[in-house]
Amino acid sequence: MTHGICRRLGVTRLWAQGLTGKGVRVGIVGTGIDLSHPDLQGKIIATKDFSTRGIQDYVGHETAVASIIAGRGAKNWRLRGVAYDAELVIAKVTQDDGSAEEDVLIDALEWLASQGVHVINFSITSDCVTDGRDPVSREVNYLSEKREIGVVCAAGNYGPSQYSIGSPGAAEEAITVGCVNNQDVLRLASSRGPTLDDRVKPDCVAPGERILCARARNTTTCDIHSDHYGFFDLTSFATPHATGIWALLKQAFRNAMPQQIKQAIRESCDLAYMPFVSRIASLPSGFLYRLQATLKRLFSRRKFDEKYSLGYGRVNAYRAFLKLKELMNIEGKEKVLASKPTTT
Amino acid sequence: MPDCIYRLAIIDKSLCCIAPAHVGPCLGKGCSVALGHNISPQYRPAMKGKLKFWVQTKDPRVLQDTRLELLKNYPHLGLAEVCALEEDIVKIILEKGAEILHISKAIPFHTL
Repeated sequence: MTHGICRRLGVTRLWAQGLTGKGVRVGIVGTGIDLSHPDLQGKIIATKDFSTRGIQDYVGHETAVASIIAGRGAKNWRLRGVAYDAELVIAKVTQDDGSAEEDVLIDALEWLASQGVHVINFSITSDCVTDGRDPVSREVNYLSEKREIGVVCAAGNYGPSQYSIGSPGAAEEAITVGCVNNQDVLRLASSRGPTLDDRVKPDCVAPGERILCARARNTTTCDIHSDHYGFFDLTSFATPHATGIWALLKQAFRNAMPQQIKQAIRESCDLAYMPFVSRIASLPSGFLYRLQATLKRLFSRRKFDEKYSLGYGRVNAYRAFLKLKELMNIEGKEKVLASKPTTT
Repeated sequence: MPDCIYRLAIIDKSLCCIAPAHVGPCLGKGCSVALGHNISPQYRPAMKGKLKFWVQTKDPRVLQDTRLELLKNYPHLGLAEVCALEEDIVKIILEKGAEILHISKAIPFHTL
């Protein structure tokens, strides 16, 4: 996790206010963890292996995810995670080839809930397009509505075709994250909405291009940077940025409900761009303005594409913080007004 | 014995039927043309072994059917995980369709 990305996402401004994820517990579902990684020392408070192969991460997927969320940056402070003081709870659900079954996933989510996590990162998905009524999506909705636990899901890497968001990204209560490159342009492989029942997904996008983060021992599933680090790509590694931001917001507003945090994140996004539109937009203005307007008319469908590809835009932690503060104040005042006795 | 199960899904409905294998490509193409790209026909040879399915039912007696092997119950989701042959699932849907609110095949997940 490079410092530059944190600055771009407005995370450093929250760090400056003392928001570092302290006291927030983050659950991670996936391929296990490399407990010996220096960036994760003292971070993990509980682990459970649902795969019967041991908690060690043989794929390297969730070790990277964990370090983006809460890595200590032991070797280099610039590589610390978004919520670097948060605690981690790890559920390993996958076999050695990275596959997992639905019942195991539901059991893992239930176990994470029993460990008192505030938010769960879900960077694994199915390639079956759903309407959000499949079992894992139902469990995600249940956790959010009844147990007040936020679930941040990867959109998937099945783009650029529409209707390519699977489970649990299609869950109504999940915050579903697509990925952009370092210029905030959507990556082609990022899965696109809408869901099978025509809801807008993904909700937002986050950086997912050459993310420098922790590499699990003896794994080579990434572009290797050094002994302990590697470069990772696409939506699995965009998602933990949003999870980390969620943790920071939860630290700031302990009483915030998952729905409020989701609303704040969605309504405070920065602009992100579609690959084609961004190329036109970067051309010099002038006579091209007309060309652009004509193209826009010709490609009016692109608006539909944008809505269902970028969601509300690229996440911005600081603006989400301000938005949540506003939401909490409004609702707090409404509660006070509602509790005042009325005179007739 | 039919050799293919066809599942045809549109936005709010899905249909499961049994037909000979050679019909598959024509059926899929025909449905796609007729109903637009919202339909996602999935057809493949029926599996010989048992598969996992998720069932939501109004009547718990459906789960006591001898053709279904109950694996796990998730009352908070209103779902039960069962193990059965695809052919039997289709037969149960035909026989007790009114009591079944939702039925789907278990789907695999993997890292991205």
